[in-house]
Amino acid sequence: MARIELKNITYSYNGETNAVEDINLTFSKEGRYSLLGPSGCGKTTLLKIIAGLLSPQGEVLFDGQGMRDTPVEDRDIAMVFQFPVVYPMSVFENLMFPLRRKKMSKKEKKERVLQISNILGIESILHISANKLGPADAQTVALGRALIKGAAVLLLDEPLSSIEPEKRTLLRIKIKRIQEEEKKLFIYVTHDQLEALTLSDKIAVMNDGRVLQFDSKEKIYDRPANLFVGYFIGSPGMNILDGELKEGKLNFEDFTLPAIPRLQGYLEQHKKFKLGIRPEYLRISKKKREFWVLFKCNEIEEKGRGVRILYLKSENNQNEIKALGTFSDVSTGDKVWIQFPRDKVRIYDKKGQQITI
Amino acid sequence: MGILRLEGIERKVLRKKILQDISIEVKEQSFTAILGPVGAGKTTLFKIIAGSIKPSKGKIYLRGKDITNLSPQKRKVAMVFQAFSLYPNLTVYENMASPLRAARRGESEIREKVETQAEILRMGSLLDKHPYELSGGEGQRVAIGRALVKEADVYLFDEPLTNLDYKLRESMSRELKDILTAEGFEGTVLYATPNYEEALSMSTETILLQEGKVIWGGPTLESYLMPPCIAFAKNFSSPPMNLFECRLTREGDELYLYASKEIKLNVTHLKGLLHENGYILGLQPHVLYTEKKGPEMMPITVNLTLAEITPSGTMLHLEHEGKRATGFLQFPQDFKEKSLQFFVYPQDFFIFSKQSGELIMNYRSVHNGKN
Repeated sequence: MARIELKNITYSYNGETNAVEDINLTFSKEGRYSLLGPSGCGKTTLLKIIAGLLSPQGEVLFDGQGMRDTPVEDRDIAMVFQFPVVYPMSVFENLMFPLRRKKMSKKEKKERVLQISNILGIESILHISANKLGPADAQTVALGRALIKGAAVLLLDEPLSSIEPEKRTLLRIKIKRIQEEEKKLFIYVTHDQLEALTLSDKIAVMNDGRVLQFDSKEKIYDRPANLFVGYFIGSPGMNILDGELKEGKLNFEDFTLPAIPRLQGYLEQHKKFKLGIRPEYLRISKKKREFWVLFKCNEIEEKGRGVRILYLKSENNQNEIKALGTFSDVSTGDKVWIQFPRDKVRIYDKKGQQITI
Repeated sequence: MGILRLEGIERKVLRKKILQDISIEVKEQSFTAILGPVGAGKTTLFKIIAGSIKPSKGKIYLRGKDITNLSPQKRKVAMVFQAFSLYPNLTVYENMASPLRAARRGESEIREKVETQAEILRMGSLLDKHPYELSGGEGQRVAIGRALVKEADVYLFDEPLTNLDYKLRESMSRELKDILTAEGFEGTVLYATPNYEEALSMSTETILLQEGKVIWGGPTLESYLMPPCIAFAKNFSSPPMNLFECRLTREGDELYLYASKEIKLNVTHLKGLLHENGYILGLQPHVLYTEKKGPEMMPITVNLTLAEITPSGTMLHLEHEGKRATGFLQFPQDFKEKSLQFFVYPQDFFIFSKQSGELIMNYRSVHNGKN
């Protein structure tokens, strides 16, 4: 069991710029977490700090115990890396390797290997030499080796990003299966929102060395705390429009939306704001409706899985938005009326932070 | 006639055929995706077109001229590599200028072309930097810029976005498409990718390459809506299309395609078209519905192995009569039960020949024609 706390963690590789800065996060035992962000955001650095591969300023606590003087091998963790690491021996021997110093009978060790290979569906390749495997199978073996000792924490550093796209789904299912069968704390580093959303319950979105939001995946998706989170999660990301309060209405140059009473006070004072709305929350009608806004469909892109992206421009071309959905009756060049559902609209200040009053 | 024509291209390495019998024709100014998994031979094909390796057999024609034995420098072909392949010791400016220097262009012409291209790619501020100072996205931008300054007839993009973050990939694919389809850009583009979504959002034509062979070539959007063969259907959807083996059965005067008790299509109206015993029914994962929306809908009972739930959709890993299947819902939904019932429209089924793998028809197309 392990609960991990990071307190005021800061780390710099070169002494000038901070790779991660003032990170405060708590991972409860047996939770499933992701660190999500673009490359260079500090997510892998943070994982290395948890593992004990880097010594930061601040405190890393495992079950309340400071880890400053505990080296990697004494922390109750296992790691899986971006590029699969396997030893040039059979898959079976690869899986046995971490158990070599464990006080277990040979039979128990073998049973554990079979148990893990069963979860991962690799019973049929146990006799094959691991360096003959393709990347997806090799990564599965690396996963198995990380699991075999039963460490309380599994750290995964982009384990799917070097795997062929067509095999990623299979491996994702295997990881998902492990999460159900093996009770432990999972911390998963990725730049891929789909992986973060499917493989974790709580996500820390990072950018420029900082954590921008640490929340349940539903909240991260539905209520992005700032515009970066809104843009980074979702494909395509959140639509962002510049607005200003004029004559009591939300004004976007060539169209207006009704005021939001709850935010009226703030907006009266600050006037300018940014509006965020997810492309999949926009509603579309080919007939004019009251309070719906006229847009023109400039381009349609098939996205696969039966959905399309509509690229829309407002009446005088002053605003551009994307809508995501099936929209089977819309064609390029069509005029459409768009509803911005009140409960899905989010309002941000000019620095991009959500205004929550 | 196409601008680029390959005739019976084969490439052997140590008796292993990396490419075999590749005969394709690429239309001028088209955007053709070469879709294929890792190891399909995409990069080898591009190197042969660019001239950096020679085919063991076959001919390459560019604008009707045989260029099979022409050196890479003399071909009007430019290439962008997956790993960028920039010169580490040269600035961005010099990297971009390199193809023009090789072509012995004058200094003022080089400056003008490089600066114009840098502006189009919004990287004017990078010109004095070295590759090690660039982020992944910037590096790929420079590699693309370097290919585009070369005045070529054909531009080869070898998985240019694969090494980038997914979010960067999203914006770059859009930007690249805009540049490569803008008025004034007259090149022909071949774009290799393992990712069907890139092919779908960017290309006008798609060629499916598998194990060194061309499986299919045709217009992208039409092929997506009406998959021409099983191999294409499997590769051009994620999760892949569900496939159910079935046989032709007769009950009185009625003719059925029978895959299971529930997946049973009345095909009496298609009698004239079905001459084989075995067929494969294809069903896209996103056309499984949780409720019955109309009387014609058929129930499918499944066991749920795993639901991957995200706020934007739910991927369902299922089993129907012992066979694996997948479903995709456009909204998040958790299921308590293991045994579930979904509903499908008969017209969403595709009928493939079991023997050849080719599409015989979409249930809908003929059905509607009859009504």
